[in-house]
Amino acid sequence: MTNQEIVKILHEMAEFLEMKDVEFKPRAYEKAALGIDGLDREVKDI
Amino acid sequence: MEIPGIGKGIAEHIESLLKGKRFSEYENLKKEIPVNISELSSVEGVGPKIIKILYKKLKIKNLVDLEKAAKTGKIRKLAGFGERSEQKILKGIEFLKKSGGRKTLGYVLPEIRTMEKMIHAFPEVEMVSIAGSVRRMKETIGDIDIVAISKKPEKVMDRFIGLPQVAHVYAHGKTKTMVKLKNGLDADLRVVPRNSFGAALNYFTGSKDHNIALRDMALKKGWKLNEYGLFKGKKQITGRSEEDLYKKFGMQYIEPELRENTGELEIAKNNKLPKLIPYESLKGDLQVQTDWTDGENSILEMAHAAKKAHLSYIAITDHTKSLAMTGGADEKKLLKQVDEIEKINKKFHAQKIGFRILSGAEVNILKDGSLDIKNEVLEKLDVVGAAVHSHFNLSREEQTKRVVRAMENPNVDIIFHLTGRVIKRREAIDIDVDEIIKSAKRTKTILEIDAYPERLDIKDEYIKKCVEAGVKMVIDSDAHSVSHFKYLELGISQARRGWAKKSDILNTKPVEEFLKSLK
Repeated sequence: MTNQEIVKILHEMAEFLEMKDVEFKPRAYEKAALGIDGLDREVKDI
Repeated sequence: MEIPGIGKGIAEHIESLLKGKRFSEYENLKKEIPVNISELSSVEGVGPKIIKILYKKLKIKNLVDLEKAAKTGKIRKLAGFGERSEQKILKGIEFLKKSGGRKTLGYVLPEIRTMEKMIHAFPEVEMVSIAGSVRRMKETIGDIDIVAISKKPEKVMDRFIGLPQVAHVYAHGKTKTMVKLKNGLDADLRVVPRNSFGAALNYFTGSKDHNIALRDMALKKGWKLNEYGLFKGKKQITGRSEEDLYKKFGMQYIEPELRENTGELEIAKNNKLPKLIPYESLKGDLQVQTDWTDGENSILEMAHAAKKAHLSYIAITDHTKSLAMTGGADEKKLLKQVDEIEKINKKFHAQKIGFRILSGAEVNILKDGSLDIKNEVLEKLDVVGAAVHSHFNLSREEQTKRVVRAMENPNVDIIFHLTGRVIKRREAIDIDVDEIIKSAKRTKTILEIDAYPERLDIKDEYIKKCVEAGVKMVIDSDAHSVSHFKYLELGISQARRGWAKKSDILNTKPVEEFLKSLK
C-alpha cells in the first residue's frame, strides 16, 4: 500500500467521523494524513 | 513507527493496513455510509456536514446523484439550503469537470519521484528520467512520461508492471509500456538506447509547441529531428544528450520549465536566456501560519522545521480578526505574539542559533480595500502581508481598486496570493493584473508567489509580467504545518516557468538585506 492510498483512507476516515459528529477524532485523522503526506519516503519502509 | 502528528491508535490502524489486515472501523463506516466521500468533497463548498444531509434526505451518493439533484431543484428545498447554495454546487461541479482528470503537481510529485527512484534501482536500468509536463513542472499534469536507458528493455518492462503503484496494464511492449496507476494517472515508460536518450528525453518532455518549432528549425537546416536523434540523411548528428542537441542548433541549453514556445528558442539562439532562480536558493519564507490561528504547530516548532529546511528566517503571518473561522488575531493578540517572537529570537541569539523569526500578519483586505488591523499595530510588525479572503465576486474594476488601495497603505509590504484561485476548486477573482503590476511598481509593493500546491498564485504567466515590469516577488510556502516547507520547491518551479532570476525574488537575500528592501 502506497502513502497516497493511506492518505486517502485517513482523509475518508476524518470525513466519515465528521459526518457522524464524532468529536476530536476527525482532527486526529486529518493530522495523521498531513503527517504522512509530508514524508519523503514510503511508510511501509519505516 | 514514528511519524509526526500520528498518535498510537491511528499508527496501529496504519500498520494493520500495511500488513494487509482489515481496518474494520473504516470498512464498517463505508458500509454504514455508502457514499463516495472523496468524490463529493472535491466539489468546492461541499464538506462532511453537507454530504451527511444530502445522503440522509436525498440519498445522494456520488457526483452524478449530486448534479442530478441540483439540476432538478431538489437541493434548494432542503432546510438550510437555498437557490444560491444550489447554484454554487452546480458551479463547483462545472469547474471540477473543466479541470478534468488532471492532477495537482504538488500532490503527485512525491509519488512520481518515488517511482523514479524505484525504476532507477532496477539492476538493468542505466539511467532514468521523468519527462513530460512533470519535468516542465506544470501546475497540473495529465499523465506521466518516463524515459530509461537499458540494454535489457524486456526485463525492465516486466519489473515496471510489477511496481506497487501500478493498478492496470494497458500495453506491455518490448520497449514501451503503458499503465494506469492507483492514483488515477496514466504512466508510459519507454526504454531507449544510450545514444538516443537526449533526443527521447527532449521529445517526451515537450511541450508539443516547443518540439514542433524545434523540428521546423531542423527541417530548415536540412536535418531531421525525432525521438531517436538529430539526423542528416541517415547519419545521426547527435541524440545522446539534450545539452548537445541544443548546441548543434547553435543555442543555449533551454531549461525544461521554459519549453513552452513563448520565445525561448529565439532568445536561446541569441544567447540571451536569463539564468533562472536555482532550486534551493531561498533563505526565508514570508508566509507561515501557527497554532495561534489555523496552523498545526507552534511558532517554535515552525522555526525549527524551517531551519531544517535550510532557511534562516521566517515571518509569522497568522490570519487577522475578520477571518473568524480561523480564530483570526486582533490587535491585542498580534502585539502579544510580537512579544513571544522577541523572546524566542533572544533565546536563539543566546544559544548562537543563526535563525530569525520576523513578526508579521496575513491582514485581511476588506471590501473597500481598507484593512482589518489598525495602522499603529501594523507599523510595529516586521513584515505585513495583505490578502483577499472574501467578496470574491466584485466587478473587475471594484476588485482592482480594492487591492490597489491596500497596496497604497505604506505598511503593506506584500500582497499574498493575489488572484485567490484554488487549482481545480475555485476560479481566480476577476482582477486587472496589468493594473495591479503597475501599482505594485509605483507603491513598491511585493507580489507573492504562494507555493502551496493548489494555490501557485500568482501563476507563471503573471510572474513573467512582473519580471518584465521589474516588480519584485517573494516565494512563500503558506505553511500550516511543519511538513509544508517542502512546498517552496513548487513556488520556485513556477518562478522558473515565469523566467524569474534570483534577483527578482527578494527572499533569496539574507534577512537584513531583505528587510532593507521593504518599502
